[in-house]
Amino acid sequence: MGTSIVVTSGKGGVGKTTTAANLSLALVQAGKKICVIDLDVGLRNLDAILGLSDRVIYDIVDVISGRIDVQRALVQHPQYNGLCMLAASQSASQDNLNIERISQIVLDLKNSFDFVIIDCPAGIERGFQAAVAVADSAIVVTTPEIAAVSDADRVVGILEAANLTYGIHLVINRVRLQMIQSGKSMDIQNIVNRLSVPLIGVIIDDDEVIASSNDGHPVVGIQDSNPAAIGYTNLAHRILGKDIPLNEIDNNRLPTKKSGFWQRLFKSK
Amino acid sequence: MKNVALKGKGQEYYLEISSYCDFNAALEDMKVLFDDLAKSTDKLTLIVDTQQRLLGEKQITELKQLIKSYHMLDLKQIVSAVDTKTSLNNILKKNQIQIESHIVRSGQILDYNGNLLLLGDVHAGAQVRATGSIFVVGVVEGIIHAGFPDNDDAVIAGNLGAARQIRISDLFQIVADLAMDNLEMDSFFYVNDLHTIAIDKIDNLATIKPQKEIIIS
Repeated sequence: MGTSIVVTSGKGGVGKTTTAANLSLALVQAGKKICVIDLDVGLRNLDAILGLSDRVIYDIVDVISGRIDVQRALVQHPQYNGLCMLAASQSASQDNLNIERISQIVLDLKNSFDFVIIDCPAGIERGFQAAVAVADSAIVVTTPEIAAVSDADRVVGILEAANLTYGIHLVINRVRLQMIQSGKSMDIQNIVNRLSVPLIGVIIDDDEVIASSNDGHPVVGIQDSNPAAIGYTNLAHRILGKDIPLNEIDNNRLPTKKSGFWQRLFKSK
Repeated sequence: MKNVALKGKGQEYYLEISSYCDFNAALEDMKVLFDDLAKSTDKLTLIVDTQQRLLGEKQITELKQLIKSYHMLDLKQIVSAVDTKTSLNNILKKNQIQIESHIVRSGQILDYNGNLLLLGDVHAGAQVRATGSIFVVGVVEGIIHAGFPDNDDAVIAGNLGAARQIRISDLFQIVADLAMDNLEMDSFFYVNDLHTIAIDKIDNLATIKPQKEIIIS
């Protein structure tokens, strides 16, 4: 029996879909069988980020309405054997999301996959409620901005009421090192204290994340050394229970303008 | 006529019904008493004291009907030395301090009956309301509403420097508009005689808003 993880945030544009895609891929690379479900009905884009747009034949609304069996609606990733996706419908609205049917579908999928990752739509409307209803655990994605943190707080409140089996964890996405170092950004520790949710991942903002998503290849799949890709891989390993210290920021500290004595000494050589 | 007794206490006339007699016997005795009274009095305002007895709905209507049938009698109220557990519990709840320990998050509105001691933060966008006073141990960034909806006796105390608004009764105060040096950890908010929200040091709470004892009415 697998575990379902909902990736949610409240606010839009903080990187839910990117996180869902990269996390799925990182888990597949760790040898797990993953099914990722896009619940962002009406505004789907998980398929594009995973590079599966061309292959979508049936979507979740087809499955909910019983037109097709869930196993046949899954899109198999051509490159990664363990990765399947259930696409959202682009034409339907969130009202089509029948929570009972979705619970049944997710239960079915949990039997054949290690993890079912649910990409939740922004907001706290029907799509979000459906995602929460079927989740065993939740990853709340936020960015170091007051608007995102405030919305995350709202979402955490709702998730707490849902009493998820494996609880709620926080991922801080799009952390800009320059801003942290110049003290202009919200402090990571402040965000964690404020939300009082355990932190499970810090993803450093990197242009490559967007560039690779545009190509339909999540950054985890193509650049192992990219700081964001490392962040996602670490996140996946932490979910699998490995004890990896949360040192993404310290490891990627930018060189200060005034380099130290030893640095200058070695550079001059 | 030992089952009922008419007594004058201060300005009021009390009709005491003995706790130990049968209620119907008491009603019979009352009839005799009232017939007597009708001859000598043309107006009498009564308070019926049932002492250690709690009347049921049916008994109350019977009693009221009997008194109504005498024109010179006017029933002011029915009192008793006892009360039901349910109503006592409700009274206690109103006066007790409820202790709640959790974080109140954005979008949540918590309502409480009576006084509240909140052990936890109130995040921005959250609201905590109580009919009585609210004391918070934790950082408040949201809205605290004591004395909801119209209890001027309520007070608010706690770390309120970062709160958005303080509301007491039907009044509200935007905390950002306050002179910050007034707002220390040991200050509390209350409604003063001019019906505006005021701040004072917690040392003065006892003199400004003495905590009332439980009144069972």
